[in-house]
Amino acid sequence: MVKLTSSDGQEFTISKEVAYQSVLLKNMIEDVLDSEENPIPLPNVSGPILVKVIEYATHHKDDPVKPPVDGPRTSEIVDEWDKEFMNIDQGSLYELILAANYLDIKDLLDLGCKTVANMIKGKKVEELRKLFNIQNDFTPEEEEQIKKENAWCEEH
Amino acid sequence: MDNTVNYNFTTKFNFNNKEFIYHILNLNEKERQNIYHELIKNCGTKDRQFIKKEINNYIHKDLISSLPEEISFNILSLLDFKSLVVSSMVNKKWNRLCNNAELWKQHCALFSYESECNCSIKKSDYKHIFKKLYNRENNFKKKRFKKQTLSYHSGKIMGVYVTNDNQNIISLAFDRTIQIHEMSTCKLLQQFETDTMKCSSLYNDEFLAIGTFSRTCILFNIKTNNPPEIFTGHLNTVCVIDINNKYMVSASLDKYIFVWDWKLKKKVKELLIPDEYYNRNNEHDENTLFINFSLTELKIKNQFIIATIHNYILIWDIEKDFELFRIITLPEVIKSFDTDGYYIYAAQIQSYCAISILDQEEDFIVYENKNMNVIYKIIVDEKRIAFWYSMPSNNSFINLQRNLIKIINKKNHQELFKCEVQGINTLNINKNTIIYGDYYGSMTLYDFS
Repeated sequence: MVKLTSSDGQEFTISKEVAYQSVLLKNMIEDVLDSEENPIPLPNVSGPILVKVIEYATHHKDDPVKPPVDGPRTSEIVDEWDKEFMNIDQGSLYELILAANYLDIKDLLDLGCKTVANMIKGKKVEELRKLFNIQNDFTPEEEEQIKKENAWCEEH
Repeated sequence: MDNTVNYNFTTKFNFNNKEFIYHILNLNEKERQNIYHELIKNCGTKDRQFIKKEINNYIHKDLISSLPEEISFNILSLLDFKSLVVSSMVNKKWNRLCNNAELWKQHCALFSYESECNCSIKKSDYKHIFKKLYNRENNFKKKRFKKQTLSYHSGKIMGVYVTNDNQNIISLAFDRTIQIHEMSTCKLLQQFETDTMKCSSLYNDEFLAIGTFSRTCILFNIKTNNPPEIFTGHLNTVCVIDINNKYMVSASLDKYIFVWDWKLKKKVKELLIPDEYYNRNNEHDENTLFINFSLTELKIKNQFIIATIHNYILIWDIEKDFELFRIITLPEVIKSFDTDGYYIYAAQIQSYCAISILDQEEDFIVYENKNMNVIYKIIVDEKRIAFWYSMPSNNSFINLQRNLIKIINKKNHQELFKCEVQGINTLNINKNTIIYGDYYGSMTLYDFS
């Protein structure tokens, strides 16, 4: 077993199998002999997010190694459990992506990126600004120019 | 805290009372913050998690700008090009991230030819290039093109080429001239006088090989004014010719295929077509023997020389000292063939088939086409197959044939373009154009760029 401490001081005990989903943890566990005694501090991951990460790693611990995908990547999420798992608010999604990146869990990072890509896909400019709370910082002239530059794509 | 305002909630307000909320909202900012602070301070872990969850639902975070750029790049690379265009219009930061050339490079591959991706494209231009490719694709889809008729020659057109940069048209005609015109201005750039031509082949927009009725092969460098190289040796009309970066291959009515190393200006191999492949259809008619001596077509691609005669496809392997590598027998006479280096696309009378060159076990895929009466010419490139074929006229009193050009998608065999043409004698396509030359010395160009 491995002990982890989140940024807000919560302690978690997980199996090595689950921990090994994270390349960062795998390297740390292999470097430090007594990780069962001394908890590994994770100053970049908060308790609630670490709960999510562990949930993901536990669910996928027995997954076979995926072969590299040929051809263009798509944002389609095939696994229904994954889809439901990512049904979270934007703040948590942001933190979860950062945690996956920090802990180096490639599949979770990919899943996070796909989720964001799916939020963007098919939306209009105004919808995107609203969804992500973005201020339009173009001047009217700049906006006109940008619309002109991208007009080729709208004729459908 | 010294300035904490203490409220006795339970005595003054009922929690279910909306008055409580209005009261707080009516306080000034400082007072409100103090209340929130006190509230949170007195919450347990569970309550705090609840608050966080509730608040998060109201927070809309700019996930593209706030994440490290390599992650936002990862996200944006998952978008389709239309969403990427829309995203680039959100704000300045999104605009910069979405116009990353690397993102557009992958989309370019969607509509481009391999040769277009590999050529020296300035990195920053990928979005611009994508736009051009997309427009071309759309033009094909919506059948939008610029049609131009060009009358430069006084004899029937024997061959016509549009250069890959879409700048020039090279045409060869029975009037014994080779002309190069600038496409945009129709200005004559160069003209070569030569022998009466039977066949031609262009390599790299620069080297034009022709076969003549005078038994010669002639090689022009059309980018220079150097006099052409003349290759002699054939004993009869040179019917078919092809050229690549090293070799020129020519076949003549004398039953020989010659392989020339055109840089060294010498013949390196003679391939004799065995007698058994001639005259299959005319065993009892000695008079027509002569006509049937000619090969229908000859191509050199990668390490193979491929020729068709009657219903046979013969393949020689250059790397194995020009050994006859394969003979393929088709059920019908082959009217025309072309190859992309992996498959041979052979047109028979009313069908065409794709045959793997290397994989001898693989079955031919035969595509029947009842609408095509006779296929005269088939041309393939990386993405498309072009046909020139005839259809019987609806008017049964006049036995007129209608000639048509059709372009289909190589992958799904969907029709991309079709038009009826008159007096066609030669056809060619490139990435942006379809061009055909007719019996009367005119050429018709369809430009989709």
